[in-house]
Amino acid sequence: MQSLYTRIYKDLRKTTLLAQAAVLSIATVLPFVMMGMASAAPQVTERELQASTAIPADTGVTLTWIFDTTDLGGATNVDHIEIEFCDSPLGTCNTEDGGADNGATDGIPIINAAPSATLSGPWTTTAVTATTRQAGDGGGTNNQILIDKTNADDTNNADELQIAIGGFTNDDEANQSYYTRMRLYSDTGTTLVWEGVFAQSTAQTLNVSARVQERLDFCVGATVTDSESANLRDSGDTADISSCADVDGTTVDLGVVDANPSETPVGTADEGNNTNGLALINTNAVVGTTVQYAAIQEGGITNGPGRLKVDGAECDASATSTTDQCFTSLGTAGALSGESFGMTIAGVNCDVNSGAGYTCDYTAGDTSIGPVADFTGGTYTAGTTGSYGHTQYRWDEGGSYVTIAQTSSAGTGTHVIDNEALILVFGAQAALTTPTGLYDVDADFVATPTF
Amino acid sequence: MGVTFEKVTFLALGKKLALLSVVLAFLFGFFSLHARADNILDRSIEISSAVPGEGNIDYEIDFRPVTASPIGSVVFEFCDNSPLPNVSCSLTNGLDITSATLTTQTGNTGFVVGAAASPATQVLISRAVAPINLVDSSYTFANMLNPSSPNSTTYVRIYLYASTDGTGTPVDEGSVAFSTAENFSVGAYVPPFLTFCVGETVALDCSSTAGDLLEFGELSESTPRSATSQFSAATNDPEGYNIFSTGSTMTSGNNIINPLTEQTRSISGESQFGLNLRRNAQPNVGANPQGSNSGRPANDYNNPNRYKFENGAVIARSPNSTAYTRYTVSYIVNISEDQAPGSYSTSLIYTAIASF
Repeated sequence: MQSLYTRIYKDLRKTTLLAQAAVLSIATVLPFVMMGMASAAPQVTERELQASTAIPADTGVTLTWIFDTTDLGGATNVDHIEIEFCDSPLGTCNTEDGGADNGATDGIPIINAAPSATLSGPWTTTAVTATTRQAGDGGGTNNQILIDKTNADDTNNADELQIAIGGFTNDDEANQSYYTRMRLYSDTGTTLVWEGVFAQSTAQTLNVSARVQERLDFCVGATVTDSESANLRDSGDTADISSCADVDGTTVDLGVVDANPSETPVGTADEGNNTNGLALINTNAVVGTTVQYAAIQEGGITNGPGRLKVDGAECDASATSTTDQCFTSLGTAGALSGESFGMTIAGVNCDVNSGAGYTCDYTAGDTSIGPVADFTGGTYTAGTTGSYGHTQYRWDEGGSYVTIAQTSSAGTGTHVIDNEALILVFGAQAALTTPTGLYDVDADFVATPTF
Repeated sequence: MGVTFEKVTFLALGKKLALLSVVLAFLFGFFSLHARADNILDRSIEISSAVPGEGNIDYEIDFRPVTASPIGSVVFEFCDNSPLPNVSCSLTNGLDITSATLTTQTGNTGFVVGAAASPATQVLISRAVAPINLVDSSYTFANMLNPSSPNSTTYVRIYLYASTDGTGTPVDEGSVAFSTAENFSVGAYVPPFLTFCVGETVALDCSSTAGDLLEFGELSESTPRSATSQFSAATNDPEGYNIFSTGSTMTSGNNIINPLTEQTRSISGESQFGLNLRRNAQPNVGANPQGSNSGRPANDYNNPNRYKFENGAVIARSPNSTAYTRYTVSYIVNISEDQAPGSYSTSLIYTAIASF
């Protein structure tokens, strides 16, 4: 007997320690464990204590007791209700002042000095005359709430009675369990009719984090595609482009340029290579992205090193000369006329956009990235409309980076870019006096995402 | 019996609780191992050129710290494999940051380039430990050598440390990315061209011509007969063009009207055939050249009221490339009283030549 008692005692103690370590999971189990113990009155059953939040030190916490009363064989009034906050379900309450201290390890919250209880569910009446904070019957200070129902009336065999009290401040320690001993009296505190213990705990806040790495895929090349919606094809029209890995070509050829406008793509019959320029972007930069270009300056040239010009030729000091071997750059956005050269973004091709995050549609203005005003070849208003075209061109020959496109959330609602392709169209027109020769210019394109 | 039942119940539940507590402890332990620095905000890198393999490039790195904690050093780690911190970093092919100099700093300042733990992939800047300002900060590094591959992405991991040598746990961190891009070339060919048109009348730009027959009517020994034709020319030859007139004077069988071999005025009663390219008063015929001033009549055909005709002569020229110049050729015919009757005619060929 003695050894059996010792073994049982040890088992009980071990179980209790284990129960405390995993208190989060057993808030509703513990009462089952305790049902084997003798009690002074019938137990309220199906009991649970809900907390609006279990975060340590949270304020404005509402506790809701939910329980059933058993059938005692007839009408049984409830007049007073005591709810005692303790560090254990039985025995002496070893708690700090429930009205002030939430820094102790007893787990009990700070109880509002003037609590207010709200009854709901199948009470005969729910009116409460007073809710008072007091010292606990089992010990402690300001750790018990007394609820004085206005009417002492029948509460026999009722399902899901609820008592809600707000204004608690959780203990500031995580994973601290506490117990509330509820006693229902048919009078002002003498005749106990039901009782039960509820358990609760503060909880450790779990922070779940993940890292999505920054992403940027940007490439420049050539394409035979000349619309915002057609299949995006490589420079030789041999394959579809699905990513930067498929982008090829580094040259766009305007072919024979005479006194009439020549605009890419220029066919082979006119000595062109049938391509436009292409800048393909994919990035998860959420703040925004700009695309810029700069005319590469030909070394050893004093005037006009960034123009469309014959290699090695010095340009006239006048930027508008039509007799030097240099095309006049359209420094201000405009149409081709006289001797002129420029670039524009005819549109944004959405063919490679996956459609997973948003629908890309240039004609509806629904692209994450769009051309700035001076480099809009057709029309473009983010979030409204867009049309493919090349009515104006511009070329900044000075060598500084100039923004040609940037993101706006007005279109797709995001700055993230999922494979949108800027179609770069180049145009040139020679004057009658533009000297014969092979002209070229190099450009450097940069994408700058901000994460 | 009741005791035994409770004991079994307690033990079974206890084991389950023990298992659950172990699981929870493991979860709590797992989540607590990965405390991370905060992510810096508004971060970007702007490079002065994206040309692969290009040197003397500036890299400007911008960001805003988020943790108000003293900072003594910042490490910029360049990797081509991942932006994630604490993941091994592989050096981007061709990228060289070992000569980096800090040329500009704004926001949180006072830094100088220091000795990085891995100079091949890291640039470290340090200062005396000082409070951090949670403002936009920018650091520009010069003398960078771009990665050698086109269309390649490089990540730059940014770590802010309380220490002055880049050691310890980062206070803040974050990553940015940049990409190289192929140099893009645009080409064009302007061919040599010479535009030239001839007719009774021609548009200045040779967009239209009309007529190829001039009719002088009945010739008279008392009154000069005259007519006009036009030609227009333009060229992008820097040396310009020459325009020739070839043909014979007006003839009727073996009878000829004498060509004016020198610049001569119109004299009624003398046998004369000549032309010029000016507006004349005697007789009233012709117009001055129109359009570009670069083209002009040759000297022997450039005097009003003086006419000449020479087979194969240059009658107009431009010394350089020029837009359209339209010339009006004025012809005069006079006959003497002993001019043999007949139908006199000639065919003239105008030729424009540019040398290129």
